[in-house]
Amino acid sequence: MAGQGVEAALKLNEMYRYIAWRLALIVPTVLAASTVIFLVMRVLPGDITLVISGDVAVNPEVRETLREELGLNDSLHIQYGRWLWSMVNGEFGGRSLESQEAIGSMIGRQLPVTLLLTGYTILLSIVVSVPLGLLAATWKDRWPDRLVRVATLGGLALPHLWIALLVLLGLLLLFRWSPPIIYDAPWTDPWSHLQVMAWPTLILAWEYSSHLVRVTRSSALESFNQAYVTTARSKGLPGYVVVLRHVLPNALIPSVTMVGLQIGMLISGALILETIFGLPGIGRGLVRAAISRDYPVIQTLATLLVVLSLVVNLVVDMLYRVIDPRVSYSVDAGH
Amino acid sequence: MLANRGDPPAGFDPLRTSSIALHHIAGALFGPGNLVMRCRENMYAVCPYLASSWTTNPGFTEWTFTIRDDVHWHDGTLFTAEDARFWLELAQFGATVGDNVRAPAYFKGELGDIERVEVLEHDRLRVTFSHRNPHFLDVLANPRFKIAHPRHLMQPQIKQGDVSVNPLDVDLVGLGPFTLDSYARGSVISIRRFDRYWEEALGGMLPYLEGIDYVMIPDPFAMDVAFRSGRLDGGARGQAHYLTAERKEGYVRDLGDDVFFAEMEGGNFRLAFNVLKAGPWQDPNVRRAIALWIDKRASIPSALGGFGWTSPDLGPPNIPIPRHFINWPKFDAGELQQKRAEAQQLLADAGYAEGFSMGHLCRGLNTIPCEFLKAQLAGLGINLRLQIVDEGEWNRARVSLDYDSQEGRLTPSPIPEGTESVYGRYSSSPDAYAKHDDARVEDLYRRLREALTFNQRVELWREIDRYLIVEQTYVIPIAESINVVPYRTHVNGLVIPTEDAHTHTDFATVWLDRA
Amino acid sequence: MSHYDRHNPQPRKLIRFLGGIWPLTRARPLAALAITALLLVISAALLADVVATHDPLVQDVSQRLKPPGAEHYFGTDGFGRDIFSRVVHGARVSLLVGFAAVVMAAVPGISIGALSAYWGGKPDLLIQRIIDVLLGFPILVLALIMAVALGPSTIAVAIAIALALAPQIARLARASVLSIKGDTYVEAARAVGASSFRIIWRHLLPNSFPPVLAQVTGYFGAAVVAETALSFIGLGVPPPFPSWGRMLQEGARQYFEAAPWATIFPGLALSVTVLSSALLGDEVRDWLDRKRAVAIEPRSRE
Repeated sequence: MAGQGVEAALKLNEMYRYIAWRLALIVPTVLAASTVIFLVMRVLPGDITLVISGDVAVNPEVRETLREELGLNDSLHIQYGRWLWSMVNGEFGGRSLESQEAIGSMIGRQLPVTLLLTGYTILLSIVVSVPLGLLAATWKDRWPDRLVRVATLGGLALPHLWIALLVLLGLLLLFRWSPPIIYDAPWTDPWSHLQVMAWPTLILAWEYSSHLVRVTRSSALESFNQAYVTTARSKGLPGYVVVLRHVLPNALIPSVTMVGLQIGMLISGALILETIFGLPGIGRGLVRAAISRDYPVIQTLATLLVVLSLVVNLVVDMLYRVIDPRVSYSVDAGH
Repeated sequence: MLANRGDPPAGFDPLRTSSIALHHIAGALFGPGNLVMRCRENMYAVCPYLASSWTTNPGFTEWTFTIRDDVHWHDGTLFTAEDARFWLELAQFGATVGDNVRAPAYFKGELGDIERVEVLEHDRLRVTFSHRNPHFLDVLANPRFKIAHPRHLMQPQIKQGDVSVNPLDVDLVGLGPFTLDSYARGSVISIRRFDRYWEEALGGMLPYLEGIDYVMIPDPFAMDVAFRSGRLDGGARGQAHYLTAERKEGYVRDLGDDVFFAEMEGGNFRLAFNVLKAGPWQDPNVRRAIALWIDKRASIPSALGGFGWTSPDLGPPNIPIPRHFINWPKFDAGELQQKRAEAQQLLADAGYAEGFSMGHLCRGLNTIPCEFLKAQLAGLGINLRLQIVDEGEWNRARVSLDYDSQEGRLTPSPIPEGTESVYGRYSSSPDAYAKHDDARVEDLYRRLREALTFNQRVELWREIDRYLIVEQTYVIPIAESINVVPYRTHVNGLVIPTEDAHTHTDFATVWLDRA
Repeated sequence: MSHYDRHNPQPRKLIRFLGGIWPLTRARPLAALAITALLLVISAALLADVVATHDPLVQDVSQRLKPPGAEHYFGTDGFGRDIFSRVVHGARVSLLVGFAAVVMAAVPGISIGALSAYWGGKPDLLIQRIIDVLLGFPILVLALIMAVALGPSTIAVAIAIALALAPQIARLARASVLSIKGDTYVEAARAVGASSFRIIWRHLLPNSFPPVLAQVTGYFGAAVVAETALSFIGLGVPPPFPSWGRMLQEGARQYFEAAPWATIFPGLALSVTVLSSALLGDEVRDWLDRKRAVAIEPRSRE
């Protein structure tokens, strides 16, 4: 008994070390990512001062002063250093060149929207896809399986833009109804929030869960062939017990991995749907900033999305280890 | 009432941007003008706004304004001549505190060379120019020039070194008929009636409305759906949001008589050449051939969304010209087949019967006009190479000399003198759409500025038109576009700007009449 | 699969892989369907000039927004251009973007992944960290930044998408090579003193290639979809070249309701291609898994 306790403690210790190591790795990763973004953004032709003034002629002397005012005449490493420092002291890249809004407050406003949208999508996808995947695997090649597979293919192949416009037009023509045009946070008006968020969440979840259903199904199928499942079956255990006790845990592992792998896709989808459904999220902010070359905003928001994707992957990795205790926590085995 | 618009306004500073997204809201918050405004009943005339009267010296170098004494900022502070001076100086000279420099307004050049601004008594302001400036009022009445800069709130901040303070930093305290209620960035701006607003009309004190919610809807299709399901009273302004003939059908089908469509002049769709760059287009006959070849009528449904009329090369000489109305309506009555035969002949005579290749600067934001032109010129054997660029690069490239041709949609200027920034000689206006270094053009504009009577101005403007567009064809006017914005029928009293999309978005005279 | 085959895998492997397509289609009708659809799309792209009934760029204002009919199979768009011809020519552009992106992603991706796995140790760790950085970028964010930087052009779109896909492929290739690195034939090659290059080129790559290829087939669809997304933001393939993403975006934005055919047909072409590529990737992987399972079993009894 005592030996087991020590082993468990060692294992726990190992896990903490692993988590610390992963967390520590995020820092250089983000640093490198932000450098990449910074360099790419600064080799661009064109000039933000021209965008700021809009579609009018601007005299060059005015433009020069504006450049000076915005700090665009400093050398690259000074600008990068200034940006980096601002990330540490909580200014998050200073202000938007275009709207003059502090980027910190921009994030505070946009991040919750995007987090909620992606959060809802992930939750809904997991809740829906695990049972559907198991269902499809249990009835392999029969109609439930076929139905599920066709639905997942639709989710993978239909462009978001198309589905989104179809949904909007369908609601209008059938019910003379459109989603509310003003976004409300769930804590101010949950009902209105739901009416706005439901559609983009459903559209995103269709694609996202399609990935999950497919891996759940195939790993469930694999475990049906495993010796222990066959043994369990031969013991005369009822089908659902076998599925729940033996197949489910194994099917869960790859689908959790998939959650992490597909997060980039999910964020990309959010970028488009936020614009169509008028959600004031990070994705829409980034698209707008990209069009107007608002360097500090692109820089900070893109870095933030990278961080988001890294954190989700870290959480997934942790979960993965909780579900599947066979995975070791050795520092090099991160991937 | 729910009006709505595309993008969130940028910085809320009319000294910094001409963004239509800002001006759709700025009218209500900051008022329809500054010291003067474009008249509500005739947009080509100048009416008093914050100044009740003005005088000028015979040489047009000194303009003196008398400021109204009943105008208040939204926080209750009285508006004075000192405030007007603060704004004009900020626009003309910017500000410098230590190492911090604030750039002057982007429209500094349009105001003319202001030498100094003085407050004579508490309510009198004198603006002195180093050169004759007879059209100062016409320029000043430009609705883009709004006073959004309360001196009593901004001056202390500037003195502390925060030179780039913008209207949002001081909570959008303005002078307009509506005051800011709340601003949820990226989703909605709510404004409420300003009870101490001074303008009066037959129906009593303006404004009539209790308030307006401006909802941000970036996607035009989402706006259509929201409007047609009854969530909006008015549509947004902005290139993508203006209705096309096809989208309008859906509005009519769903709402029938409950919707009407405000139309305003959307500017002139034109092709301009960079004659300073070597190429076949340096030959005026080649440019003329292209002008004759383009099927102007086809451009309206395919490139302008279905609303507009074709531009002839010159205005008809015999229509009555209303005073102050220099951009008379033009219609192109030419016969296409005949013009096209002439075009081919001209091109062949110039030695380009086989055609040639020409670059074309094209805004990525809206590539439809470029696609139209490319297909048009292909028929003449000219390969138009589209260089599609984003806004930043477009703004850079169009003022550079490293492109062959470009097209654009230009808002007409209320005074012919104002067109020099578009058509003028490169050495005097490097931002011009047409790039040429023609001393004759400069001379014509100089004579125009010096003209003393209205008829002289009209005659000179005709001469400039003929020289620029027919003889030299530096620019090819193709069509006048019309911007269409939907409103619900219960929206009454809208002042529909005929000439400039930035005009009269103050909604002061609007009232609702819901059944 | 005999032991002998595994020693001389390269040419035969490929022939076997290609030759395996026929039995695969017989055993798997879905795969056959996917291959047929893809072949159809590819031949449409190759023979666009023959298949198209009209010039895809010629505008005719009198023929604006005509519904599908005998003259215009898929109707016409707002410029009066023939949509059928544009979809056919669009196949060229979209497939080109897809192929170019996948090839540009696969070549460096597979080589770096394979090298990383082969070297192991410190270099592997370093390469994996770099891949981490790139993997952290959501595909569209990276593509967006690249598209903004490079300006809109077909090649820029392909590069942008390739950059987003390369790290994923590298990771796959690494895993795949790692799984066979310890196999006896590799050890044997090393024992007889084969050079690193030879081991990677003759043994590791050919054997790890098929499963990676199966995945890459699926990525082809992702690349075509990414182009659509970039078109939506205005950073896709520039006009007048008709890409499906561009057509979809134009049709949807301007006359989604008045002329649904302008959106439906390019959308359909896109969906069929993406679906087929995803299906094919799946089926090939499945099939390879089974072959491998069959191949490994007798060996495990040795």
